[in-house]
Amino acid sequence: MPFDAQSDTSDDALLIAFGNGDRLAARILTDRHAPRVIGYAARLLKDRAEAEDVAQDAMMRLWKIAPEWRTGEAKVTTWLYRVVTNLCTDRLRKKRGTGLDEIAEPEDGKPSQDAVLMQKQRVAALSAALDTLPDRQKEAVVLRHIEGLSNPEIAQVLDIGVEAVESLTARGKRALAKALADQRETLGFEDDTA
Amino acid sequence: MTQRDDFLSDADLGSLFARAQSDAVIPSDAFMARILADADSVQDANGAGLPDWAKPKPEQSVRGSWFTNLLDSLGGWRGGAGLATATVMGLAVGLGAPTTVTQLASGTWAGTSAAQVADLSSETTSYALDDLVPSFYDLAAEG
Repeated sequence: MPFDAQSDTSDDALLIAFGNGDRLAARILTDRHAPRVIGYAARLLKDRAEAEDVAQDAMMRLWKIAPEWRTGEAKVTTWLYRVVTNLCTDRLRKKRGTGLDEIAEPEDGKPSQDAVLMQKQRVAALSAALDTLPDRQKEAVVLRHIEGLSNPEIAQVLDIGVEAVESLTARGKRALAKALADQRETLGFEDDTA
Repeated sequence: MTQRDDFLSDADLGSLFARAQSDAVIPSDAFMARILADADSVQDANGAGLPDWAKPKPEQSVRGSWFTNLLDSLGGWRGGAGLATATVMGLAVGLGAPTTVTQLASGTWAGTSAAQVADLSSETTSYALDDLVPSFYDLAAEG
């Protein structure tokens, strides 16, 4: 079956085609999912090289499971997020306390007028604040508010109930709001609350 | 400082999330190439492009079910087929010639009553060679 990069062919169909030896299916699946996978891994790990390792590992597992993939049992996206979450959790547990504090903090007291720098500071501040959350809260918040997954999808990724997801994201957001409150001025939000 | 000041507003937090969303990680060409090389290696290992009969069997079939293991211990499908044939033949022979078996077990000819058996002399109740091997004389007669 011929595919092209703009194909509307479902992930399930592509994965089954891959399992049957279609190399073009591999290219389309890679284009669709590799950027998402590495992005999510990078947010959790804060290390580009490690994120690439995890993303490559996750995609390799996808290739290997392709011949046994059953249509309709799980979404490829959700499956990949779940694999990446588990791989990242393992890595973070191993290096707990050794690398998580190496995140660049925004330069206190030196707010730049440069909009680009401000945006970078905001992303760095959010990233640093996310790292203060417990793993599950951080994963739930990232999946919900940055990756854009629905609560039922997050429930599948984290293997918990939807209510637990709602609780994790609510507590995570509140913790973030509190952690970032004292950086309001640095991040250029002071005017909003005046 | 008010209670409200202790927390960043939902709107500000939302703008941070939006900024993080747009701050996408762009995968390098080398990374994408590694992913595709992995895909190729998996497909090669799975025998992509080969006819079905030439593809390597999945690991699951190597482990097999109890039935497959039993069949393997009998010498595969050929051994199993031979055993099945022998079993059917044994049943056919057993069901097709019960008279001879009964004869040999009771020492009498079929149809002989218990009273007749009691009156029979020792000569008639004794076995002759053709009782035990009935086909011997048939073969001899046919030359």
